[in-house]
Amino acid sequence: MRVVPPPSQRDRAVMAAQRARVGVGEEPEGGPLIPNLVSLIEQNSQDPVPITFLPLPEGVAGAYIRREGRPFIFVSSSTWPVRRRFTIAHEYGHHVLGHAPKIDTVDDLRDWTTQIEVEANAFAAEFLAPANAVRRWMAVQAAETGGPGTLETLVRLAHHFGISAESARYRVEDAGVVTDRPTLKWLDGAIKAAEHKPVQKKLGLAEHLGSPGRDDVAEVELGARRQPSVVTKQVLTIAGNGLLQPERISELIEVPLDALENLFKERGIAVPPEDDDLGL
Amino acid sequence: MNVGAAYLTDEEVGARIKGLLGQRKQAEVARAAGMDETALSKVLKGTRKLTLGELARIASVLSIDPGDLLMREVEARPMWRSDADPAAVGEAERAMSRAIDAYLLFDALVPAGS
Repeated sequence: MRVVPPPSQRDRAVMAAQRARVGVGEEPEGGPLIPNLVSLIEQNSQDPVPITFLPLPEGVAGAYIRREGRPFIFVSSSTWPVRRRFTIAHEYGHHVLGHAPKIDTVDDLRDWTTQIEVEANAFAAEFLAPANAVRRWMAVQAAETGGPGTLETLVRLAHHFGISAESARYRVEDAGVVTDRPTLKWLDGAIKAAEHKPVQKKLGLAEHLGSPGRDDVAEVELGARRQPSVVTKQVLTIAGNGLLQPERISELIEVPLDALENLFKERGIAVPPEDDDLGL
Repeated sequence: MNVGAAYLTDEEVGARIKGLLGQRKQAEVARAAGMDETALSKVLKGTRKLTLGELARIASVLSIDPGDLLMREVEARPMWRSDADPAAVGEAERAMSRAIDAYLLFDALVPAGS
């Protein structure tokens, strides 16, 4: 149970400024779900942060790491898109809020008592589903789904913003659209008992898998590796110029050689023969 | 951030190895590194130095660079919760560290801004 209040007006302003900074306002075109979250953060012209997906061990959600003054975000690909999206937003929160490097466990993303986790979680929640946007969505949608305090409304809200039902439950409280304690308690119990799952199924929203072509968080297969886009570009240049041989690149990025060769083929990269290797 | 002398003390080396053991048994690691268990136990307590051969073998068993067992980190290490499984977090940290090593090498060869 949470013991820390939701973000203040000032914190909300910081988050809104961050959304604007990565190129999305409160409701980007086509709906409030941030399209292509990974590209938005990686290609932010002012402060890009490379994001790597790795099949991290069970219990480890992601990390915010700094090395040689550079920031890095890691996220486990062994989880579903809603969880990945929240982890990325949480790690980005550590970065934006100037926190120390941090490896986050699954529990850290539910921690509402440790200061830096509370801040990163509040950032992620507001970043992905701004309270103002939640209120606006509710004003239009809730009447059709039996009012703001029903499981169906919560499931639709979660789907719309690309967050979990649990996050959606906190957002309706933070946004002040459900204030009645017994209703909030009932929603907590229903989610804990997984009663929202049959509702998701009935509505055809069983797992939020993103919108094809506009959700790069969902494009990474379960348990796969995904290099930051800048690394993919560098690898192509390095291979194309014979600075490193494909075998060495394959070892370094831990991607099978045949997958790498397929990538070169796809992108029309001709790897020079080994004689041209500069010996690195 | 520079945190002082570049090399760890014997006690710190012992503590670092201990941290990397995770859930592996000392006896098993000692055997894999060709060491006597009592000798490894003394190393972990910081009362015995590693020989060069032992250092290389222990580092290989723990899948890390031998230098990382002796040197201080140039920058602060990432923190993690004390209730997390140290073996899982250690494994994750090593995987992420390798990815960053590759990133920095690529960036040295082809700077991202170029």
